Amino acid sequence: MNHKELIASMAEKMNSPKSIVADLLEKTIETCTELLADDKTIGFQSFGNFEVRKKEERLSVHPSTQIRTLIPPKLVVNFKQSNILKEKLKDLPHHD
Amino acid sequence: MIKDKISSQEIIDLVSSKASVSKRAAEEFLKVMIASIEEALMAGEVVKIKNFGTFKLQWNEPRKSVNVHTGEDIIIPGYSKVTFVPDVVLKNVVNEPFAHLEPVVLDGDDEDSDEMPVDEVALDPLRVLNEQAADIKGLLADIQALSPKKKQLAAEELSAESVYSEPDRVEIQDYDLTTLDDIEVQKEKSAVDEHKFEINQVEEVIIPEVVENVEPKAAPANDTKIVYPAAATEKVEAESVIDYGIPKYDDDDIEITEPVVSEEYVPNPFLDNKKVSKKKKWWLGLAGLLALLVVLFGVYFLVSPVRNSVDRSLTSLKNATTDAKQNFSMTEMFNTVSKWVEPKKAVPEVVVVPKIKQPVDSIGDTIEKPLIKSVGKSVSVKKSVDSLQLMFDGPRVYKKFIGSERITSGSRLTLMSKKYYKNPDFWVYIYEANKASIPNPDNIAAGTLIHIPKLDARLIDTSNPKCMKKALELHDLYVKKRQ
Repeated sequence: MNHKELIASMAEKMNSPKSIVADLLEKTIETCTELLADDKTIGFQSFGNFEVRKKEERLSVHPSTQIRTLIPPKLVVNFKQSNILKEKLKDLPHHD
Repeated sequence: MIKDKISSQEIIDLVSSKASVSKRAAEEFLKVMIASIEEALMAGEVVKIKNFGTFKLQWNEPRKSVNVHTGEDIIIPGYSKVTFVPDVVLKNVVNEPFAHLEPVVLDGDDEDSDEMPVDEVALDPLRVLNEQAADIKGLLADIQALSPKKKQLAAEELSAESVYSEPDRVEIQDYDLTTLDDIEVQKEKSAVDEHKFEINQVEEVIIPEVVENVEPKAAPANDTKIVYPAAATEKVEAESVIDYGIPKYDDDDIEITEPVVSEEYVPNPFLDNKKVSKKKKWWLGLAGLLALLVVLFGVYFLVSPVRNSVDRSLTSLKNATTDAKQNFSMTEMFNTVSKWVEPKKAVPEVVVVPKIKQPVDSIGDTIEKPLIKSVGKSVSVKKSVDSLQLMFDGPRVYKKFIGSERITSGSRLTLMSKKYYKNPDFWVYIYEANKASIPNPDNIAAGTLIHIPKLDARLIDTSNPKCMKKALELHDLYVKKRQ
């Protein structure tokens, strides 16, 4: 499901035009991005937490060339599902 | 987790104020959004939100684990998990504080591993040639530790001189190598034992005089040099040549370190007689050294210093002094040279021992004689090479002309060059000769009269790579100037 499909399904559920939904979604994403950039943790109840984690710098060695490279530290967004979502997913039949 | 956690309610407030909608609408929207995402995920779809990221369902296989308390094996059942991969936009925004950092390739280890082999390569031949290398190094360290620091000024002067004589050096070495062969032949004829005997005589004769004249510190070093001038020291000197020749030191370095080296080899005097095979190398090295030192002093005493090379000397001087590690005072150096000169005189006339008798008393004489000789010869030898360099470096004056051409629409300087000099690359000289009438070598006005200069044959020698290189350099120079 891509961005457009998501908007379409949401618009259907809310009984509101797609343009409004799209605008709201955009604003929500903007807000979330700003908050994350501000090093805040966002918790959506029943869904999960978005959190910024710092990956420390590390030394990587190329397996074949043995070239050692210092990878600088970086900040990444991490998502952890909530237990509610986890329980829901348990009911999901696994097909593999 | 406590740090600045934003709850759903706060998000609703922020979104409602930002989108200027009611809180209820915002709340509903958020709920629907999450529900939609969940729904899609449940259906096994991948949810992609622009500028935010991708939600995906991931199946974690069941796995075995151990209960920490009881030690029992337990099986963690498989479960699905929502994973989120942030979009590039979000990633970059979040990582802004560290955005300027980039991965650094560390060469530290590579450098180390590179350096080590180099050292080994330099040392290995030494070991192969002489198992005593290690001992000698230890002795060198001892000697260096014992010997007090000597006047640096004097050493600086020395290295400066060495720079003055730099250009002459190569040619002189060549010259000496030729005479060397004679020496060697002579030497081979004379029996080695006899040789040694004479040298021992020399030793006896000379040592007292040296000790009288030379200051105590320098004396031991110098003595040893006279004591084993020929067969006995052959091995020792061969080492010294190899030691400092292989690691690619500059001429300056060799020159200054050489006395140090011979000093450090003092402790193993007659040990090395056996290795006769090293003779040749030693002779080559010794002759080269002799020539260097002789010219060095010749330049110092006879010729006024070359102003231009002062700057060069200062820079190389630093290297030389650090590399040499030991500084030699002027007097020491002087004495050393006199010793180096004597053996040279003695060697050709192996049987004539008495001549060596008058060494230290008449230092001036002994130095000056060979010095003048060698300087004179070296000048004649290097003439051809230097004159070419002079032609390259100096401004070329074109007085004689072997022809003239009038520019037509199809004429090119390169064609003329090919016609007169057999190679188009030498057009630069034609251009140089006609600079006044050619504003732009790429576009010459028709009707211009071009004079073809008569060039020295050595300058346009197509078989000489130096000539070709110079021509190309000039070509670049003139063509670039136009652009």
